[in-house]
Amino acid sequence: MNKDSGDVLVTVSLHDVLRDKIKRDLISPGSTLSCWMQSLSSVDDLILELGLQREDVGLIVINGRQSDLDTKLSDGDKVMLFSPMCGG
Amino acid sequence: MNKIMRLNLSDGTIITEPVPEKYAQLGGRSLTSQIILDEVDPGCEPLGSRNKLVFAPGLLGGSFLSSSSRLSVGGKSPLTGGIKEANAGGTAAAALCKLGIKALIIEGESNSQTSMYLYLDKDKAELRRANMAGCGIYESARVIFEQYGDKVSLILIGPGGERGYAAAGLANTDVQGRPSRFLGRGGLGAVMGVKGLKGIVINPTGANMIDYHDRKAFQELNKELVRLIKENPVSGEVYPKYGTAAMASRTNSIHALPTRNFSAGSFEHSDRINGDSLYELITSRGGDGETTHACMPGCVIKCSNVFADSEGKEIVAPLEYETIGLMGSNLGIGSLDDIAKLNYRCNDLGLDTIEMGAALGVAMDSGIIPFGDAKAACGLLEEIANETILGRVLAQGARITGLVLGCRRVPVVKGQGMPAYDPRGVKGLGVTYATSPMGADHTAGNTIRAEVDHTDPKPQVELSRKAQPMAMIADMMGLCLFVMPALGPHLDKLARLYNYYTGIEMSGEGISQAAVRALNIEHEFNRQAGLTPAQDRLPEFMMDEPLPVSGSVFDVPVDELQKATQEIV
Repeated sequence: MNKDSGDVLVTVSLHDVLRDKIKRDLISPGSTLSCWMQSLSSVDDLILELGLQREDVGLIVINGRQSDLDTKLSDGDKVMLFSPMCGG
Repeated sequence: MNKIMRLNLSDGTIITEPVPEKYAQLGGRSLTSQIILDEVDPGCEPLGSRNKLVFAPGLLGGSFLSSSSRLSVGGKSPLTGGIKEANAGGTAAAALCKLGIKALIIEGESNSQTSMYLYLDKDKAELRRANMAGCGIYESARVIFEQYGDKVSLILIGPGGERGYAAAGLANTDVQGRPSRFLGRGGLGAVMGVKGLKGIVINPTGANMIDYHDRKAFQELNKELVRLIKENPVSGEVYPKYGTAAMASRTNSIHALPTRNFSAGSFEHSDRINGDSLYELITSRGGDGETTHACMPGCVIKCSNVFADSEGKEIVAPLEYETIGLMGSNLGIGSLDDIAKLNYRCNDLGLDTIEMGAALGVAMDSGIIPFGDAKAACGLLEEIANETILGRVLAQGARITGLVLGCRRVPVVKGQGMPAYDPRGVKGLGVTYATSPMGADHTAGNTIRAEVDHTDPKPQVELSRKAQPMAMIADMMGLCLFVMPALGPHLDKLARLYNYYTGIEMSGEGISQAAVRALNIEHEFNRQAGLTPAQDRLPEFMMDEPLPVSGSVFDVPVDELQKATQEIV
């Protein structure tokens, strides 16, 4: 993901299953990685960029607030993605 | 499963009865609740001789469908004053099925000073003298296994149950014989204790009353259902590898992880107690530790674990999300080792870790000990073991602890401590806490999986209204809740499987209707017990005190809450 003018930089935090599932070349130590995304990209675009399927993701949180697939990304966003769980 | 067994502790009689027609299609929670309504005076004292304790495997119990042998126990709860069902995985339900026991009813109250246990095998049902009275659960199990060998399944209470503490649960044994699968909630361990019954030993050797109506058809359909479980992203991926602890990162991110007596919804040390940390710690330590472990034979999810210390020696198994939330973040404790030690001590005393985590949180909020002080928290559990006045107060649960210590932030509904989801962060579950006949119970209709904004008050009543019958379906079939995302959309298949198992015709629609009827039974008992809609609400601090960071309060209107039980009632 190379930076173009107008691109936004987001930090993505992944845990457990999703960290195991992203594209191999994105795997980094720890649970966060940085992604350049085209402006007006949505969470949906980000998920595909990471090599995940939509159904892999059950919970989306951006800057501490729950969001959804259609939420547009802004520069500096802190995005957390989680696989679905039904209880514990 | 062709008989009902009845033990009367008042006169020591044990009788078996045929299953009445009306109970034929009831199982697990739907059967325990129906028997409680039919036989227990709703006005009785929960810890008196008129209350009863009913054990029942689910309708698919003992079958080889994965995750289908949970054990239900029901009675009138000393915490809620209403009907209660608690359930757990483990081996006891399948052992009861092998003996042909559809329900085991414990009634009366022993006059003897000596604690007794019930011994069951294919030929006998006897009340025997327990030489492990007052012993912890682990020591009790060791004594019994020494006598009967390791093929028996056990249901046990600890000193907490024997002393009638309202936070007491019951344990049953896992596949390796650990007495740590807890039917924890509602104080039903105390109901067993005051009757004078320390445990139940189920010896299935040589018994197999499990007789498939159409074994071949069952096996075929079972294959399909197991495939659905394995392919579902919920039951097929996160639980098998990371277990329930993985929930901590999710609730923390949406500010729903109980922290310092529910005063915050996110915890600064959540990274130390989440699913990743648990997995890495268990893996790096090796030894006895296991990241994945089945609580029942044949489970394909295996969400359980064995947690070992830095030397690789087992501390406790399993270490679950609920305990991590209530005895970890809720107490300001950010160490899995400390949580595991608290967990083991609660287990050994026979106390529910959810209720005790809620009670200790209240004690910390009251200034008895500081938040985050794990050593002092262990000390409070020793006060319980030693029967000090403070210990006896704590072991009555969060509500009594709050009353005695003068704490106004008491996270209970109908007197039962809240599980590890702050309802200001997961409002649909908050609706369930408020309106379920079970009191604050995360297994009575959890909405966390719904893809909605969990803080938006609007969709929550409807979500809870749908989730409560689905939870009942799992509880009546004997199924683990974690297979429901995979099997819930296929109730017709479950009904067919039940038909192949028993020969009894049922439809998917019939299963749904039975679940609604069972919820009605529970509401009816509670009405007769004197519970009213006035108790169907959350503590006021959750309506008034915004959570830091999210600013969320529980704002589903009180007059809307009742709609969650409409069409149910």
